[in-house]
Amino acid sequence: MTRALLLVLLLLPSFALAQETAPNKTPNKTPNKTEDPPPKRKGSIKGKVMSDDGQPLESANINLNAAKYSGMGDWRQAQTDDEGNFVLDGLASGLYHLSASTSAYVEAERPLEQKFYRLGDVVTFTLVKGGVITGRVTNGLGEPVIAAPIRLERVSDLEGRKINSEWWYGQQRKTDDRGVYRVYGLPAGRYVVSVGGKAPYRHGSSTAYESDTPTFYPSASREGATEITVNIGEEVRGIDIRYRHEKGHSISGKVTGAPADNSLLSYSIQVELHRYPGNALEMSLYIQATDPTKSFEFITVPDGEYELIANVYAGENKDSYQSNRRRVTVKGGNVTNVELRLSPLSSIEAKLEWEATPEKERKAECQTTRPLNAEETMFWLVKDDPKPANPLSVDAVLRHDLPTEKGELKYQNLEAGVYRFSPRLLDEAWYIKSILAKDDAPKPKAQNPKLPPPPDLGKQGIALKAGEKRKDIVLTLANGAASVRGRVVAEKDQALPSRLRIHLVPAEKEAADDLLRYAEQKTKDGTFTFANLAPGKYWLLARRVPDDEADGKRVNLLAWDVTTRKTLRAEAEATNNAIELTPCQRVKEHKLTFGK
Amino acid sequence: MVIRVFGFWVLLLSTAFAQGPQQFGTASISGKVTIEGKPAPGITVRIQKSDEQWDNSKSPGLVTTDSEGVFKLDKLPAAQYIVTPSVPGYYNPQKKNEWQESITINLSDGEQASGQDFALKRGAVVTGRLFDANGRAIIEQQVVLKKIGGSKAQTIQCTEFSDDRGVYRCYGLEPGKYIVGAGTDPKENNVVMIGARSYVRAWYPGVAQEEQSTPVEATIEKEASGIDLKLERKKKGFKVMGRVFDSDTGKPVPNIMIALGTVNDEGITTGYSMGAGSGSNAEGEFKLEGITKGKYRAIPQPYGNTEYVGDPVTFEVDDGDVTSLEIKMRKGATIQGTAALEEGAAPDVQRKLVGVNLVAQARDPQAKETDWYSATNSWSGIDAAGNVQFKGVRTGNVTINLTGKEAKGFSIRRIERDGAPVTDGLQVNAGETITGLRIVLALGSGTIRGEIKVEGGTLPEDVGLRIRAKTTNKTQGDGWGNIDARGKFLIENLNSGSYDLVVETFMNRPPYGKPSVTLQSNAKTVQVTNGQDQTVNLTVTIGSTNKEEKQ
Repeated sequence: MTRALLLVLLLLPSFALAQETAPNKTPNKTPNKTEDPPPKRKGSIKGKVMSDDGQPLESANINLNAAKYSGMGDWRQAQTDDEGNFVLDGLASGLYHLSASTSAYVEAERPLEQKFYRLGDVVTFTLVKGGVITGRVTNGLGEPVIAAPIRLERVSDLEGRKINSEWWYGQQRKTDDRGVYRVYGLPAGRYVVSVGGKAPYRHGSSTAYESDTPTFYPSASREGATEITVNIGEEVRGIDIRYRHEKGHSISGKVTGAPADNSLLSYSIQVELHRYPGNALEMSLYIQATDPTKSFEFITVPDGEYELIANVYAGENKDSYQSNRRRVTVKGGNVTNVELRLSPLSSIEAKLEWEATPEKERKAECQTTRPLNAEETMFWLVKDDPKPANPLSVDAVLRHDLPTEKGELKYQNLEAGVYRFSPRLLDEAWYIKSILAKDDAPKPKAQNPKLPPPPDLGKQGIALKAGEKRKDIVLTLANGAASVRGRVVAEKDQALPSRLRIHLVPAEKEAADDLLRYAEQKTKDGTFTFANLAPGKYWLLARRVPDDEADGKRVNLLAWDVTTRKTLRAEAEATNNAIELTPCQRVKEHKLTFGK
Repeated sequence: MVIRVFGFWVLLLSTAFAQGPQQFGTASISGKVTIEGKPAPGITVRIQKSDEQWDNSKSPGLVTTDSEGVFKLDKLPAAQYIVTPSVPGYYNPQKKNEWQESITINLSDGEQASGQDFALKRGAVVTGRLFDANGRAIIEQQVVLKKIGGSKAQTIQCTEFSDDRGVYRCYGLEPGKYIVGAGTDPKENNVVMIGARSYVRAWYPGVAQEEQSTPVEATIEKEASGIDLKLERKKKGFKVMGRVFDSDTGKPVPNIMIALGTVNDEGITTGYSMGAGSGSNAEGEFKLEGITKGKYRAIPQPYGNTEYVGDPVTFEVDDGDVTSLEIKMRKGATIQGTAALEEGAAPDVQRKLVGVNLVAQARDPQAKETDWYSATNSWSGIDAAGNVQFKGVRTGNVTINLTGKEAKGFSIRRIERDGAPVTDGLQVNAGETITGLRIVLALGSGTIRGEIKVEGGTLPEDVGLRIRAKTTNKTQGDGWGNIDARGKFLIENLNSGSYDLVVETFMNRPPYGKPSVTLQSNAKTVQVTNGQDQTVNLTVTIGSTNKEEKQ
């Protein structure tokens, strides 16, 4: 059986948890590990889908995915009834991702961060009619080009800021016998429209235009394409394209390195051709793992810079295989003998340890021994790539996992590099105290002072080599975490920039390089929330988001870069918006003046 | 020209005007494409080996017609090819059914197959709008057209679905009278549309019966426009809920996807859908929604998890929810062994075994033999050491066969278990590991090619011909090949032995069933030797039709 790697890799934009209304009520004692785990709570999530004019949307599709993916049991679909209502019941407790869609409609506005929902939540989705682009395609003689596939790629947001370009995967539209096409249901943004060429994902019937490279509006190759701005509910007409019959060239080669034990025999090898720089998919194909030659050939490739990569799924609970990223230039000729060598991807397994504050030392209410609710706790694993080889590459590699009842976290299919944990602890009582490699975890007593201190993975990050399976990571959580909520205000008579990044910087000199103490958040309305903070002294700093950074672009913490960190600290110290957080303190309305 | 790209030497070849399939031979295919009698330049003709049609990694031969409308692709090795011109907007009056836009050719070495012409005509257009009881546009529905009058009973599906305004446009139609419909007809559909927005099948302008529909005249001169069709929403359907559990221990089995198949009156699964997104949860519970009245089969799909294998359950949805389906799973078994070629096989043939796939099939004993969806299959390849392993094999009687295109030419001579021959399949118990299996294979390399002449009349348009090389030797399979428009056929990879060459008829369009013609004098006995390529010609006579015999 085949399984595309895409099903396994969950690349998600950054997210925030749904607003917490009441703290989680769990029994106030340490669980006895020899007992059977209590039966999972069951409940439902319900809601409504409406259009922006207040009308219910019936027969809209609701997709539910459990945040902790553990197989097909965590995926559900439903449809709204005649009043636009839906109910998903019989759900086990945990965190869920929910989305609503219906033909020709799009989300009113893409949230800055992805939301997760819990049992008992009532969710309202507001969808709006998407944009429409329509036009006519003719050839050099003015004759209509018939049944040619139209492809759209969203390359910028509405304001023209570059985003990771996304193929529009809505209903595949083709030109009709007059050469006329109409694409609808588009999210707002700027698009390049092309006709002909090979589809990025090869499925469905082939077309007469596959042997040509795509022609971009108005009649150009990709470099000469004119972007079209479409807003929601807007119809843009007259996007007429003059078709160019241009032939591309081929890139051929083979995939090597499949393990000799034939363990991958039931899976297909996926080979992808991405445009470089960036990661936009140009074409892809599959090779049967049983094919002894494992050769591949991409044809009708337009001139340009590319990156080839092959991968193959290796089964559940196993790391997939991925090849090296091979740079290829196509310029007026075919490229042959490209070898993509597979090797197993890496993984990180981490163990959570809870360090409860001893009874005698407890000063604040949240320093109890109340256990963490594992099923509503999430940890992000982020790749720290200060100088990515591929500029304009996808948003930082981001994975999430929820711990098992024993506190185990597992992240599979990782490329070599340095990784950092980013907490998304729902329970505000906890913060990450340290991240250490198990063998070097400090012994409780009798520590030899002459031994070098254990490597602080919270500071260095977790280094992962190619093919390495690290199982030695220990994440220690401590309770007594503090939180700060507030808003940015402008200096008198000054306007506030609409897009701000709020930085939280530890003020103590010793903590200057303790990356676990740094936090950052992008905000459009000036409000911010920082939770799960270690008690201590902090500075808050508001900075303008660069004009060319798209709203949805997820950026790793700027503070992770040594030079930027120094600058941030200097600025934060100068503006000196300081706050001292004691254990369990909840600051509700902190004001931060935008200085510069 | 050789250049250096990032440390690798690559050879840049000059662009070829026509790109051919990968190996080189000496045969060629050529022809002419005309539209309304005039030569059609710039048309892409796709020429692909028939067994590579669905192979995503192999590129087809693509050739473009020149200013005279002529195309030619040469340097082709002998094989069976499918030739398809891509000329949307135009229709081929020659085509026998809605799929047959192509020509199939059995090409021999050095053969120059010319005259593969396509005479196309500009099609007619039917366009209009789909709307519901409130006058709102119906989006993404497919329109179907049934041609009335004439000898061909044809149902055409418009290629594009209705857009956001509900507007549809069917083009490239053969001129004539049509009835226009949309919505789903449960008898027709092969795919179970679980939960999707669906409408009851209706015909222009919005009637339930075909006979009541206003026919639409489609001509080349004028578009048939304003053919607006009103549709009613289908009733929402009911819920189907149940539990998946291990029938030996009673414990729930999670992560089993439940696929739904529709069951026809003969009890055969006709459609299949993975929709409704419900895999069994931690308690083994699943729920499917939006299931309309009918007969179904719930088919458990362990999706990559080969630990369990389950039995499908047939049930009916009448006018209420189905609440307690029980899907029983059993621990799958494992079969291990080796596969090797017969003694005396050449070493290079031995290496070809790697990459050949085998399938262990366990049939649901209660399902009919023709029920494709009732078998549970486990696959294995053959590794370099000749090892074979099937996992997740279902309980019961299991037969092992070759599968996949790499297996072409191979046949299973015999199967042994711990030295004893296995003749009627393996008996497999739940959770068992069977070892000591030995599969002995043979590779045939005999070829029969030739020409079939049809006498005593012409075949009706809805009847096709194919040829079968029947063997009485149980340890090898029959060979077969199809017969192209010129009467030429090709059967490859036959093992040495005696075969009866028989020409068979089949229906090439719905409703499939027994063809109305029979053939006489349609068999010949042939001796085949490995490595030998022989030509055999046959003449068949069209016999009396079944209808006449009844009188």
